[in-house]
Amino acid sequence: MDDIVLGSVTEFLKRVPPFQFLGEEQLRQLARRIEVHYFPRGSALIRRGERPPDYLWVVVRGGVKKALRSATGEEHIFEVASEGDLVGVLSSVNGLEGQLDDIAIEDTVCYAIPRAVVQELIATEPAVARFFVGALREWVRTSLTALERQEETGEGSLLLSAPCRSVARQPLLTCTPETNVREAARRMSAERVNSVVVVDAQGGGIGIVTDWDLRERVIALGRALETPVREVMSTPLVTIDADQLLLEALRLMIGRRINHLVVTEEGRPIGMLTAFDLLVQQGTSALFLARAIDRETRTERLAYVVEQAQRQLLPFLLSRGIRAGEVAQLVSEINDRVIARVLALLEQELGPPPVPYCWLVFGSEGRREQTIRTDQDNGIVYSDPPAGQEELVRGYFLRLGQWAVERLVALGFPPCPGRYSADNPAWVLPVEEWKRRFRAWMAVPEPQSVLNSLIVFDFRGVHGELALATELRSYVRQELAHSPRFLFHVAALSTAHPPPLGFLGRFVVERSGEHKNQLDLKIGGTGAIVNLVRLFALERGIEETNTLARLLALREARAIESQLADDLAQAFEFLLGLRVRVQLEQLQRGERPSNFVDPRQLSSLDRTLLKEAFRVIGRTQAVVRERFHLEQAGE
Amino acid sequence: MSEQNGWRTRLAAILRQLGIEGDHRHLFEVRYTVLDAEMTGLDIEQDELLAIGAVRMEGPRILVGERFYSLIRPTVRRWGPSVPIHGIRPIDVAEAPELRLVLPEFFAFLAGTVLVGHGVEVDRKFLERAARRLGLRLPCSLWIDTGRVARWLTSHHGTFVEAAADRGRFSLEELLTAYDIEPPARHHALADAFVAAQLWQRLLYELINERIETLRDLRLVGLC
Repeated sequence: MDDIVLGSVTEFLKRVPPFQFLGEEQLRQLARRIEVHYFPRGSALIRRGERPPDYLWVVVRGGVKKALRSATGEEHIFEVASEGDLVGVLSSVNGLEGQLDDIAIEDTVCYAIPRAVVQELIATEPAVARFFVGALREWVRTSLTALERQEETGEGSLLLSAPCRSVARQPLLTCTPETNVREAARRMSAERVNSVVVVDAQGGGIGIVTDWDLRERVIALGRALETPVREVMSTPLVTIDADQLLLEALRLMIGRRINHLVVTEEGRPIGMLTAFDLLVQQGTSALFLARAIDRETRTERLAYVVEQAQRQLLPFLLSRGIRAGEVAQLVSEINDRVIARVLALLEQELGPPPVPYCWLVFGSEGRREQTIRTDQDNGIVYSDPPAGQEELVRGYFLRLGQWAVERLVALGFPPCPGRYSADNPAWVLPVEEWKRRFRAWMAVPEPQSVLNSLIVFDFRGVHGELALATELRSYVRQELAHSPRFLFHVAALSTAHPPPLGFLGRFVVERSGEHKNQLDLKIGGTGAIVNLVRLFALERGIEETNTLARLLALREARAIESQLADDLAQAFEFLLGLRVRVQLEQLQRGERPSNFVDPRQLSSLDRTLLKEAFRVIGRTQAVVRERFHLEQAGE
Repeated sequence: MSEQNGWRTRLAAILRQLGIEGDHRHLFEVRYTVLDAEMTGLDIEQDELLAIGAVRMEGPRILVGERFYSLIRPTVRRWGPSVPIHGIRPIDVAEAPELRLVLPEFFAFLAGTVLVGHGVEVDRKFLERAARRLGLRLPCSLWIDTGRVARWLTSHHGTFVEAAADRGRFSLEELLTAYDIEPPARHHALADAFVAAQLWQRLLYELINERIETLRDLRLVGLC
């Protein structure tokens, strides 16, 4: 055996994950493409912020510290890679620029694997791919700790906060509607892109032809290559303005289940943004998750996807400086997809629904403000069944509700302790019955019915015949206009919990019990804002359910002062973000996430902002009390 | 530092006057072939090549996949005193190709690179003689001996006398120990080429530290 060098390399790699998962022959193939690199003590393998290196390194001899230097010049070492450890995982796997400084702390020899080889391994070896996903998770954990320790540098690299313009591929490949398929395909391959935008004589975009269209609508159907593209293109063209954020583009792609977005400037197409661009940009794969959800045919397997979304995507986005409100919307988007998938699978098992129905989500889910797994709040509205079939139809949906809730529980969405969920017959009703309930709540506002309405009135349709949800929404708006007494009760409830800020701006903490010396970020914080803003929205007949969207609509309708709207939005984002951060830390410590935090453990900046947020709430509650002539709550 | 620049400047001036042009390629941008050969013995007239191993480097990067190794069947069955060292027995090369088949292929692998080896002068003599006998030409003209480079670097740091008095310190074994380089095997042409490549990799960085940055600089100090 002449390959004594190759042999020594493969022997070493055999002990190194993830390469130990490879077979003998694959290892030899890998070894052939490896380089040996040497780094004298003090030299850098990767520098923070610099372009991604071309290699993934395995330390053979020596050590590499992964460190970050703060603005004050202080160095934080997160990790030291020694023999058998990897350096440059994130860059080689995700093509991210350097996140930390990776510096040799002694004379170091590494096996260097070119990035292209790493990418090939990920594509062809599931075990390797899984390993790198785990490594990514590890990185998320580290970077979260980093973030916490390092609010100082103040320079979050806001990947998804960049405008679409910055990533869109330009120039855009276009063709006329009369261009034939052969020509379109030829130009796509010449330009090495997988789509072409069809534009009219005025340059306006009217459709798109992608690889998929060519495969499914031309080849699969055996159509002639002379067919004009207008006959096979996908319409309408989904576009996004160049100034919109990438996060918005991501949301749009997930929501519309598409891979291509045309970036426009003043309505004219200027560039193309693909899912792949976003993936590269984002470093983790929200879109990949969404696709995985749609592809999954077995409910149990969805659990893994949900787990990934919650445990990885969320902290990742937060750690990249994406605002909590936006992260929550993205998480809701993914949860919606899971719900839709579970229901679609159930419809196959139970048979098609006898009448159209719509799956409703309430509470934080309805408001798209879910972050860490929150309880299920859901129900079903179905079209009024034909006479004589009421029980039959009801039976189908009761079963659907029951099973769906069970499956969602199995997927890690906890059941609702208050039973505001579709396994409770009280929330599985035909349209007319829902309306009757709403009317009753508003006519006789007892404490329980007002409480119900607070939760249920944030409803939103997620799956099925969404028009049913819309119908209910307009009904609520009409009825509210005639129910001033009901609004009065909502106002009373919305001001019942003053923020935990006492005399001279001191925090009011729990005096005893499990949460001694802690304060509740939800009841007097995020929850208080949600309640106040919902009150304003109901009062003005605004149909949005998301708190930030409601504030925006209220601001535009001049229903509240723009200053107050902005203050509330900022306070809400801050409180939501703080709550999520606290909960993620609790999860990492293996604790159950709660809404409580000890203010003494917050940074002074967080304490200041927290007080400011509480003051905004207090001020708004005072305004409401005055408007509705309410007594001071509590005391 | 100024003294160092002094001699460099003077030497450069002399070379210019003599009309010798330097190779200005940076040492990190040169393609190297690090090689090692095993012979039946060290007698250049009677002994023959038994094995050749070589590894490619792109600057300081060792390319594991680009390597050359072949055993060679000697024409005259002379087994000198080297057998105990490299462990190649007559039976091992009974089926091996003859030099006239191996050498053209090896030269194709070397073409256009700078040759590096430990104590490479011996390998060079054997290769040049073999080439002459087969009517071939070595496709490279620059040779670097890692032993001499190491010695130069030491004398440059320390005292030359100390370095010269202690030649044993610059054997491959001693240097591998000093640099903590683990050989996969010893006295195997490919393995030795591979460790010599790792040694050259370290020396490259040390040369840069000493501001020997181009092939021309290396020539100025007489190392290639």
